[in-house]
Amino acid sequence: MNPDDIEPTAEELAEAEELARALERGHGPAPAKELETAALLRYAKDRGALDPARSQLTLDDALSRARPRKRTSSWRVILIGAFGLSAAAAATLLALQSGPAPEASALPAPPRALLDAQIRATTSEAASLEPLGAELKPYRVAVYSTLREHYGR
Amino acid sequence: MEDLNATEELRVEQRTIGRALDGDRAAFAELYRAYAPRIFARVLMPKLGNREAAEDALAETFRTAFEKLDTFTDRGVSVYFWFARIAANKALDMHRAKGTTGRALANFETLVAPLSEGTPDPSELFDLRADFVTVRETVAGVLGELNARYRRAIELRFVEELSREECAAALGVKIGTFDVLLLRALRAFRKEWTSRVGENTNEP
Repeated sequence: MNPDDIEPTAEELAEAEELARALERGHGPAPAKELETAALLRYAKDRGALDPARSQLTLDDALSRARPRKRTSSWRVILIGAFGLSAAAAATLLALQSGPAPEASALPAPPRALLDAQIRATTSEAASLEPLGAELKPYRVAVYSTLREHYGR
Repeated sequence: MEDLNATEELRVEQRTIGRALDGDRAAFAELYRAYAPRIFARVLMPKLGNREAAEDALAETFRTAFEKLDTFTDRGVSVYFWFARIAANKALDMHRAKGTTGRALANFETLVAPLSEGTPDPSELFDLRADFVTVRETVAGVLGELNARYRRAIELRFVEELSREECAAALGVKIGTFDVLLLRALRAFRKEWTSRVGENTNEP
């Protein structure tokens, strides 16, 4: 008696048909364990060897996507360096163009009489402030005049 | 298995990668020719069990690998293992998309896993863990234990690679009867295989 003499059940028939279709087309549902076993048997036959023609097509396709090393990082370094150098150059130019700060104006030295009047006003409680005011007035005029000449206002 | 991580091999490989990154297309082609057949046979076919799907996954693998080669970090192991990891992820993506694509995919690593010995090197986790000669000899041994008609059905379909019609004619049965015979033959084969070598029930 052959093993195929036993009448198959409806379920077995359906599974056999699904498996046959899946093995033939590579698509569709199939009983998983039998599909795995069939895959193992096929592997034992062909060793999973890659078809040379298909392999070449795959290589050509992959080569079209091949990307050499990204250069962006080195470009970034160059750009940052260039920007830094320009900024430094601009700062130097600005400093040179603006020139030295104007010299402080030379104010007239206070006359000796004014200084004496100040000493007297601060050391003697009884002293009047009038002599100090009298000495201060011409000195103030002289100071303002000097400042006006120097700064133009 | 050849040692991909041998010092001299790594040095040559690093130079090739350097040339590729400098824009040398021949260097990209060298990397492909060195590793694509192995990725196909030892990573993709065992995980997908479907030649057409494995070919598509191989193409996807090398598209990604060549686009991102400048992100590969040299950790003292061959770039092969980087390619293998990409390939394993592509295979996983295909299994996830099976519901939409309708592809008949089969991972037979669990069947083969008990044939390997020892603990795998972490860098080799994506490779089939058994050498081909052992697989082929075990398959032959299991076939030898089967009922002659089952063995013949398997040989006609998977060794001689005949069509269903030719197989049915060779056995003198209708196509539908041959389909049932093949289904039963595969079940008998698996039962014998499992009793002989065991089966790794954990997902690889």
